[in-house]
Amino acid sequence: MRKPSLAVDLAGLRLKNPVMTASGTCGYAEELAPYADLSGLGAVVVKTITLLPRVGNPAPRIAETPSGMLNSIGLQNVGIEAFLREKLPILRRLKVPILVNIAGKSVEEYAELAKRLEGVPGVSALELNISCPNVAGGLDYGTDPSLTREVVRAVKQVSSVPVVPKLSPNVTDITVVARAAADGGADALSLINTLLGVAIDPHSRRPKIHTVTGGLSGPAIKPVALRMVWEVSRTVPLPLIGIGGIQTGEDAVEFLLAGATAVQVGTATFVDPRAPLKVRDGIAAYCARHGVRDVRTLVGALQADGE
Amino acid sequence: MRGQVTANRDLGHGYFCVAVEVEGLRPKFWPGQFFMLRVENGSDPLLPRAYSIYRMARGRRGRGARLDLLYKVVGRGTALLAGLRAGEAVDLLGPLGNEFTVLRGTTELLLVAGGIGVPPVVALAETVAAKGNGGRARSVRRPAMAAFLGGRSKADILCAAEFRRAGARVSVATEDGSAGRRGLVTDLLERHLAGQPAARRAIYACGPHGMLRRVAEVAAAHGLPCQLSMEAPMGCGIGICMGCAIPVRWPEADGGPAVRYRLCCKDGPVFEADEVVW
Repeated sequence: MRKPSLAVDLAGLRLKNPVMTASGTCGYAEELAPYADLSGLGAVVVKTITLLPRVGNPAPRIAETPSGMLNSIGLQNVGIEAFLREKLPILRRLKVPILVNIAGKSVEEYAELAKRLEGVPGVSALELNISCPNVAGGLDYGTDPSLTREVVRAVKQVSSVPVVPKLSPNVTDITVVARAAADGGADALSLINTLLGVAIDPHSRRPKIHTVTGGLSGPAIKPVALRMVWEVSRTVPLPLIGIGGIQTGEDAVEFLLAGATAVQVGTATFVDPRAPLKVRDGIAAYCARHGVRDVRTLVGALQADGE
Repeated sequence: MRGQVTANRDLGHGYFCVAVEVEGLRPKFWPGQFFMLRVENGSDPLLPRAYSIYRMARGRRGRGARLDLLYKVVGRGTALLAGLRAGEAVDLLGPLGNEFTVLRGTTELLLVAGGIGVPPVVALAETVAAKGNGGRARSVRRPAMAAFLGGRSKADILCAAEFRRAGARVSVATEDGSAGRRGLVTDLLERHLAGQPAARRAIYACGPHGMLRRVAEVAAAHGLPCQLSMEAPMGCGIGICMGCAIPVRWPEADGGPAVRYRLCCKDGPVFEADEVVW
């Protein structure tokens, strides 16, 4: 059998395979360069950029939990100026689509960031972080359907690249927010961001991270993420990027079957810098094993009898 | 990279020394550097753990490297490591991070180690004994070394013989008085500094947070250069998870905050004592 085709089309972006890095898990790519060749991925998603640099939250910022981790980094980043000047030129050398993840404190800030990135060579799409649980105001957008619609609309008005809101799982019904994002003009949706959680050290009676609450990621959240991708894929006719605990090619295939067109690998990269590449190779191996010639045929191909 | 355990010695009281053979790894490191190590056990525990390098030498049959790590069982990650026998595998990434630096002209190194903070400090002592300095600069006159080892109890005093073999004068303090002087290791350091004529000294320390803080205060009071090997919960070891934040004074007056965060894994683990904010 010939090699399976892994290429997918995501809102007009041509990806040579469906695997991306997740925002906040590959720095600005240069940190990973000694360990993994990110140019072999479908796309790279950059850590959240804000208008001004942010120093982030006090330590401790992370804690391990069963099959997962909590984090509360607080969007530490160099700010849009330094990103454009110092980081983007290095990212462009990868020659893969770059999704720039942005976060603002207001609708105007999101639009301002999008304007600054408009027409900049190397910026293939914008991923909107409307769901960071670790900064004041960050969750409000992602949990409020009308704010979500407003932010997406404001960014769409000034942006010519695909706009991809990243949805929060910390809602009662994610399809409501997904619909609102679609109404606002979203070209695709990323889901899910981290689940709010708490970890406590019973001996010291202290929280394990400084801000008490943090975002849960890793294999522990995979079933929740799969459920949400599946729900949204049946509700909103937009391409989806599945995120949540993906460590292997088979994990990624589960997300494709649930309705995702592409996937992001996040926490697994902390465990092994080559994890995104291994997921890519794992998808190829799955396709070869099951006689799948084109990975696109897996998207939404879940065979559920009990619906 | 994969490594194979060749020995995993139980030193008693929860302390172990594991030897790992790694093919294709150059046996070269700077004192203070570390490895991220993970024992494969499904997804729990998930993340690798950081271990300071104790020793590194050429591997068996002259190939690759043999890595010695000294550790204490404190949680699930270290407990899994302690359960490994010769022939079993571990996942490794390293050497990572920066190193202790010995300034030219330093005449006496004051080495302070608390409990399981000893590996990078004894690595520095052994490197100085072998090369006359921290390994970086060309050989200078070998400085004198005084090692101050502290712990809760006698069982927590490690590597005293190794320090002596490296030519260091060793003093010991334990909180329960079961070995050396009863009290804190920083008391030994202060006593030493009080009784000695001025020399071009520098302090190098690794240990619990409270000990490092006190060492930094003593260094500041005596105007001595001081480097600390710090610890923070690390997710990745290579600067991408941004979890291991260490608050530092920020020298640049760019209008931003005067205290910002550096990453223990990428900017450290060795920090100048006077830049750390406690």
